[in-house]
Amino acid sequence: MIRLLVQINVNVLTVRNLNAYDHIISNGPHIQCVRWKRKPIWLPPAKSKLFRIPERKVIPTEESIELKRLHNNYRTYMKSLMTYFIETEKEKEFCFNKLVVEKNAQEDFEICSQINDKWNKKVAMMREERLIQEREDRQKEILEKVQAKKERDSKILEKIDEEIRKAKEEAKTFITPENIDKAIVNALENITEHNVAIDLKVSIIIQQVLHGNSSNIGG
Amino acid sequence: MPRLPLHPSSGTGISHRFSKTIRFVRYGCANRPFYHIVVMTTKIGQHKPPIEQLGSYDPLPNKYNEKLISLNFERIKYWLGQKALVSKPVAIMLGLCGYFPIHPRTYMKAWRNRRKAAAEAETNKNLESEAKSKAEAAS
Repeated sequence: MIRLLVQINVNVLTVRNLNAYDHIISNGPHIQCVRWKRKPIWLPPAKSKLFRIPERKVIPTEESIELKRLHNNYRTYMKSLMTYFIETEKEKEFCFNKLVVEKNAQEDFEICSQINDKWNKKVAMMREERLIQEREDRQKEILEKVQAKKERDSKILEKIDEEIRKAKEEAKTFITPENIDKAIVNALENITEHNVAIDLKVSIIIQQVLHGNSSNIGG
Repeated sequence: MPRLPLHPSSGTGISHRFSKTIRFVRYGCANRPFYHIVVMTTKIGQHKPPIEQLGSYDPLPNKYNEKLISLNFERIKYWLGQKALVSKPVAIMLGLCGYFPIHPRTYMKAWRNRRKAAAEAETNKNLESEAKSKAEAAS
């Protein structure tokens, strides 16, 4: 039970420490707090434990010898391992040194540029071959096109010639200032009627009566 | 009140020239231990900001009866190269992982366990033989 009691031989600090948990503890007389039963660290050892000497563990001699051997081995291994790790890290640091990095980069660049030049030459050769081929093909194509154009032109000329010939043949029937009087006379003499009706049996019906009427209306 | 960590548990990355240690930090709760493996300044408290986290260790076996441990060997190598010390439990764990030589303490534990098992087996045998002899006497 933890209660604020004034006891003999109780430090002020203890009392304050116990006082901190007062709000948890009810006033019931038979309650014992289990959780916080530890002695505060600043108190001296209990009177009953004051002269107690803990027993020393005894390790058998065989075991201790074996352990010593193992430990010695382990220590030597670890020492060498640690020096290895430290050295590798140092090497790494050296590798990442600015000068070394630049030098390495330069060497790498030279090797790369050599390879690049080789590739460039190869590609240039291939390109030249391709270009020659392309030029030949182009010339062939152009020649073919020229030939085709010539043929086309000649055909068109022929067509035009024929048309002209036809026109010339027809030109004989044209009315010109020289034979216009003749044509007029001819027209007046031979009057053709174009006002024509067609019935269902496709026979042409000519109404000559209307002609006179129309003239009447016109007069 | 819970201790609220105001730093990333994966490490702050801030390191000084003081000596460093690779060690466990207990990030569990009551009855559920869980450890981070971190690099910290040697004299700093357990839950203070670490320099870097190097792994984690779950000492409770999972449903497949495995204790899981994860380690960032690259960074461990780096920090060992920076002359960081290694605490004893971590050295034992690394020994079991095959990164360090096996710690003598592991051997010691093993042979003590073996001896204990042998002693138990013997006592069991004796008990059985006694029981047999008793049964024979009774019959």
